[in-house]
Formats: sequence, C-alpha cells, structure tokens
Amino acid sequence: MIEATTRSTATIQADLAVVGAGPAGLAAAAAAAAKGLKVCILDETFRPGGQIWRHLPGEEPRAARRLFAALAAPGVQVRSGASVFDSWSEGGAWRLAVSGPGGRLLVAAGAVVLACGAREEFSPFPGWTLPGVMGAGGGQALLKEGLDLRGEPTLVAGSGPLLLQVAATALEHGARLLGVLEQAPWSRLSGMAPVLASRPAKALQALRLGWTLRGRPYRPGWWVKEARGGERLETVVITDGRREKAVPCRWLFCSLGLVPNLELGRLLGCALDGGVLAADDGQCTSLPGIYAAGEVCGVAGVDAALAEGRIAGMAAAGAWNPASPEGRALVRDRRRARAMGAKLLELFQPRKELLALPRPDTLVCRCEDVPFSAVDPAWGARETKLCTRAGMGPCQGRVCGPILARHFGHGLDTVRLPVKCVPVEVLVDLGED
Amino acid sequence: MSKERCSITVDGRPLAATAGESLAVALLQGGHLRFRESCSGQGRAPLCGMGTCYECRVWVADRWVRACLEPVRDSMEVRTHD
Amino acid sequence: MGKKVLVVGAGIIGSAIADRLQAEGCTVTVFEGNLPAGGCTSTGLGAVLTFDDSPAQLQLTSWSSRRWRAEDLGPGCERETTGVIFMATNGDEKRELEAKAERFASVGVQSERLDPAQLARREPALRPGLAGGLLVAEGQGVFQIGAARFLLARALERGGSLRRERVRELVPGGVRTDQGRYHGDAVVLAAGLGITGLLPELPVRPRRGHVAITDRIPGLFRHQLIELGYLVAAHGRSDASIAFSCQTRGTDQLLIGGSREFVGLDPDVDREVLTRILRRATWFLPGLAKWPVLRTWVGFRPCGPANVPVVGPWPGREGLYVAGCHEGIGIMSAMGTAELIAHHVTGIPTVLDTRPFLPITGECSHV
Repeated sequence: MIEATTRSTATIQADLAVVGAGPAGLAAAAAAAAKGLKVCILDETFRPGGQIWRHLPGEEPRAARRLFAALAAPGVQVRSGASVFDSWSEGGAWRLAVSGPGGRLLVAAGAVVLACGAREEFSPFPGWTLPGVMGAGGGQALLKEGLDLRGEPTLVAGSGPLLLQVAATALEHGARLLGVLEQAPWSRLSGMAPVLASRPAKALQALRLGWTLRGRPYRPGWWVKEARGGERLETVVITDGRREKAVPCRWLFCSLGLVPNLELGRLLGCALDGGVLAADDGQCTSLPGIYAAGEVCGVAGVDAALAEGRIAGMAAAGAWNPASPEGRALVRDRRRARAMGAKLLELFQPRKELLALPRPDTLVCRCEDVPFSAVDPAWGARETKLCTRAGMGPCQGRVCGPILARHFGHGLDTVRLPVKCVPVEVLVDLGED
Repeated sequence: MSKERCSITVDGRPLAATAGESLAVALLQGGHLRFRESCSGQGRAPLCGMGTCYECRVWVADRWVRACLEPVRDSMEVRTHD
Repeated sequence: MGKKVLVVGAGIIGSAIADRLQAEGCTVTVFEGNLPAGGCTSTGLGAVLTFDDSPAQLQLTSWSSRRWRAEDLGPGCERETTGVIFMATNGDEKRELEAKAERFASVGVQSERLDPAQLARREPALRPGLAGGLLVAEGQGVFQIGAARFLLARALERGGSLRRERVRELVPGGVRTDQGRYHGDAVVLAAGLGITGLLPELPVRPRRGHVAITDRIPGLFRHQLIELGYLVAAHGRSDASIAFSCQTRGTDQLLIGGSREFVGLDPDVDREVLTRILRRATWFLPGLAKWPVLRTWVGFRPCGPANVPVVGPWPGREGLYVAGCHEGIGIMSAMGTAELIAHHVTGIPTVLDTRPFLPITGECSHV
C-alpha cells in the first residue's frame, strides 16, 4: 500500500469523476447527480461545453442549456482548466492526478466516466506548418472565442459536415469566405441524401447551413495541395486532381476528421475494440468502475455522446435499466446515432491522393521537426520512435501518430504517464522543502 | 464571462485584451503570429485550438501554458518564442 | 585469414563488436530478433564517461571513452562534449571526490576540483550550499541509439550482414534461428538480457531504472550532473536506490534519472520511485520544478553475477564468446568491449587487462 504522499496536494473525494465537459461528460454528470451521486467534472478548457458547444451564453442549443443548468446542482463540482495526466487504482477506488490552475490535484472516486472526446486529424501537405493554417475545429474554437478575421480571405477545406459549420462561423466572424473544399467526390456525397432524409432535424440543420453559405462555392472533389507564404499563410494551391489553382488566402481551416482521445483510457488499461475503447451495453469498459461515452467509443457525434453519457451516468449510479422506457429510448438513440456516425465516416473517407501530397521535406512531426524523408516506410511505430524523434515532443504523438498510422500503417505506441505534459512539481508531489 | 478590457504584456510590449478571453485569440488579434519557434527555426501559431497540439505554447510568468486553454488576466506577462 | 563471426544482438555492444571485427578483417553476421538498438540500449542515457567503481571498470571505461572520442561519428550520433560534474553534498562525499580525482589521474583522465563558489559559477542552476564538485571536462554524451545504428551501418558497409532473426539456440559451431542454422568460426553472445535464455549458466538479471525527459531547455544546463550519494529508501515500500543524474540531449531536452531496483521486468513506471527521483532532482536543481515533463519510462540494465562486464571466451564451449552484463556502463564500455572481443577472437594484441572480465575466472566468477 503506497503511503499517502499528499501533504502538499489537495485531494477531492467524489462518487464519480467525469473526464471531459462536452456533451457526453455533461450528460453523464447530470444523470449521476440526479441519482444523488457526488460528481466531479474535470475539463481542460476554461469553460464547459467541449468542442461542439462553444457558444456564448444565451446562444447555445436547448440540449446544451439543459445540461449546463444541471451543473448548478448540489453535489456537482466542475473543475475547468484541469488536465488529467495520470490515473490508477488504489484501495478499491480510482485516482486521477490533475494539473489545474492551483497546481497538482488528486481526485479519488469510486467510478470514472471517460468522456475525453476527440481531436482533429491532420493530413500534411507542403506548407501546413505556416501560421494561419489551422484545423477546422481549431479555427471554429478560436472564432467562437472571438477571433475576428477582418475581411481576410479564408478557405475551409478537408472533409465532413464540420466544414460547413466552420464556414458559417467564419462568416459570422468577419471572414471573406472563399469557399468550402470537400475532398469527397459528389458521387460519394450523394450517399448523404438518404441519411438526411431519415433524420429531419439534421436535414433542417443542413438547409440552414446551406442558406448561411449561399453564394459561396462548395466544391466536392477538391482539396488543398500546398500552402505557401513567408512568415504566415499567403497563398493556397487547390486541386481536383486535374486542375490546379493558386488562391490568395490568409486563413486556412482544414480538417480530415476526428481522432478519439484514448490516451487516458489506454493508460488505465482499458481494452480496445476496433481501435476505440470497448464498452458494454451499460457503457462500462473492461475495467470495473471505468465507463466510457461519446467519441472515445468511436467518433459518432453529439447524439451518440448524449445518449451514451446519460447511460454511463446512470450505470455509475447503479440505476441503468435498459428494459425501462427511458432505457429502451436511450439504447435506440445510441444505435441510430452510431449508425449515422459510421455512415458519415464511410462517406467522408480520405481519398488516396491526400496521402501523396507530402514532399520529402514536409514535416510529419511538428514538435520535433521530423520530415517525411526521415521515416523509412519499412519501419513500424517502435522503430520510427527509435530512429527519429517523432512523437517525442509535447503533443506526445497526438498530431503525428494518426499521420504515421495513415501514411505508414503504424499501430498505436505504448502510453506512459504523464498523458499530458505537466511540470515536475505537478507530475509528482514534491512535498515540503 | 467578463468583458472588461485589460492590458497584458507580450515579450515586454503592452497589448490590449479582454479579460477572460482566450489568450490565443488575444495574441492573434494583436498581430502575434509567431507563438513559438520550432526546433528548426520555423514560426508557429495555433493549429488545433483545443490543447492537443501544443503549438500555441507560451510562458506566462513561470508557467508553461497552452494559449488556447488560457484565459487572459489583467497584467499577464506573456513570453512567446522558446 | 578473416574469421567468420556470428554476433548475437544488435544493441550498442553487438554493433560495436561487429564494427570492430569487420574492421579487423572478419566477416560478421549480426543477428537481431527485435529492433537494432531496441533493447537495453534504447532506454539508456548515452553517457560516455570514465567510471571508477572498480579498477577493472576504471580501465575499461577510460580506454573506451578515449576511443569513443577519437571516432568520427556521424551526425545521427549527436555527440556532445558537455563535461560531467560529480557533486558532493557533504564532507564525506567531498573526500570521496578527492579519491575519485586521484583514480581518474591514474588513468590519464584530467579533472578539476570545484569548491562551492566555483561549482555555482559552472552550473548556476544548482542549489547553493553544495559541498563541492569534480569536473571532468572530457565527459561526453551521445544519442546511443543513433550511435549503435551508426556502428552497425558501418559494419554492414564494410561487408558485414544483418539478419533480422531471433536466435533460439546455440549449437556447436553456430546458432539456430527460426529460419535455420548458421555456422561460423566464432559466436559472440551480445544479447543483453537475452543472454541467459541462450546460456543458462550465465544469469543476467534486469536492474530497472527510471528516466524522465523534459521539454527543451535551451542553455539552462551545461554539464552532465551526477550525485555521488546513492540513497537507499528509508520509508518507501520498494527497495529502489535513488541517485540523481541528468544529461541534456543534443535537442536541449533534459534526461533525468535514476533508480536501481530488482523487480523483474515490470515495464510500468513506479510512481513512488519517480516521485523520489524528481524530489532528488529538484533538490539539486530547484528551477526544474517548473519544467514540463514529456514522458517517463523504465529501462533495464543487464546485471551479471559480479560488478564487472563479462567479456571473453566461454570455457568449455569452443568458439563461443560472451560480451554482456554491462549493467549501467554499456554505452561507455562498448568500444573497450569491442577491443577485448577483437583480441580474443583474432588474437590482435591489446593494452587492456583481459583477466577481470573473463567468465568464470575473472572478478565475475560465479562458480
């Protein structure tokens, strides 16, 4: 039994720790709190809502408003600016080590919901490291935080429905939107029609977006080939595989899709299934007391996150009953949301031309400036790490890992503590001097 | 969310910002496009906007932070470049 | 006439041996069942120093470090002459530094005694009030994975070959892998922790160490730093012994160690051990508390029956040589080990005293 080394470290006791304050985490917290559990939500961003609910107060959708209101319930504690960097089992409970505004923090909880969400997947092209080139979700986040694009030429490119939302947000924030490039060809996009037909709410959303974007080009079958500039982005070269155009551009928001944030789950030792955290019908992972909901169970969007978060919260409270009317509705919502998510992943699969874009000097690892030329295609993940520094920087492989997987077929590397970079004095309890 | 205007310093020079807003936005809005210098000398700016890429990392006093996750506070002392 | 030599293991030891034997006219085939430099070599710190824990070690590491310094290493080896400072925290350790300086001098290694003021000037980031230090300016660091792969590549360029096959068994006059049997005039067993699986008579135990790596700290630390004291746990549940050492990589990232413990092959970082290491590190370098840690890992040092590497012909087995049990001095001893093996295999004379390292009859006797 490890002796307590928490002389200088505050410890929070809770029935349930929820990692992530996006839709899945908030749904889990609200459900558990409603059953009387003491809940501690830990979220990295300085405001709850995750990536999708970055609205200003008063503008958020109804589902968000309801869950934000639940945060005010007694027994719910929200820690914003809190990064969970380590977790382990101790004395029959789960411990999470957190880096927060006050330094090192420990949370002890009987159960944990992993609602860590997803991050952007990047597909490198020459010039992708220039200031002004950002992820679509990244751009969305900064725009919602107030970034004013001041009429500067802006392009949105990549893949997926997110692009349209980002484009709309960019317009609201002063962009001179040049257009939206969708790498999937028209032929594949027509597969969206039956999906939308079966989901009227989504169809309405799409129509609204289409109206907002009226007059701006939406170009399926086009993608970014190169970004050029000196100190920042100045020109984007776009192509459809046959034609090429160089377009003056100051902001490029591009995204290939999303990658689930599995690091904490994998550190704990949760089993994976199909490359995501395995969860049973009650959202329990392979570890008793550790639940998972939302994107960490597979990228599938907000509806899946809400259903699974609620199930996880109820399960953590011992109140999950799939046979009840609510239970059956949640199971049905989950199934439909996951099916839609799977369909979208299929429709927006990256095309093979994207893999051919990097030049030898294009960087694969931005933290350590490792170019594609440094990676021998014959190497696996481990050998690449031995021979280059890819993955040995602060992002801990979050950006280059998916790139290496797509371009070189690398598998996942071992996860070690800390799963987030933290200062020495937070990583361990330095005690009194 | 506070909407007060405040003043921070970036590499010793003053910058007007809004208390509580994202430091990354404040820096970009203030014309700072070089948050850090990569190990081969390239200038870098925010990429992911959500704290996973660490391209926007800067020093605030003696704290190493991701600007996209850091709320602006009055008189913050920010150092860009490594 | 060049001998045909099979080298088992493409870590730093096997690579250095292959490179040297190939240079001496042998035809070398290196066998590696995993990744070249992917075993014990991969987790080390890459220090190239003279260590004086025993006369044998003193001789081997001083010769070997000198040879390292003379090598024309490629850029992938990231060699840096940082110098190393051994630090004393009290009077006893200060006296030990004196003895150290004399032992170094006996093998031609120059060192400079630093009083507390001089120590503070050389390394401003250190806490004030230390008892003193000993600076060895010639101390170097290398990126040991790059160095091992450099030596292996050079061996291959000179006519050697690499077989990515796992050796399953030593057979008379050769080895058996998953793919087949290979024969040679000599077999050199440089398989690190894998030695015992092939040669049960030589027990090699893994001695675990911890490493933490920080983000880049340009210009903050100048020398490798090693504390003299080896602290044994007073209150901890493990019997890990902790001693602070650190070294910058060419990238200005700081590698911090270390611990020594026998816990089998447990690959998981022990939080309590890590805590003790970092407490010790920040005691010496208070500013380190604020620096971000990117990653932590454990590594295993191959530990033989005694305190010296086992290098030489294995008695009773014609043509079989062992080069292992280097514990924590593998990188710095690699050149010296290659010299010893070259002597044993080809007969080329050496100034090194081979006796302390001989299996059975040397200091490592385990009979």
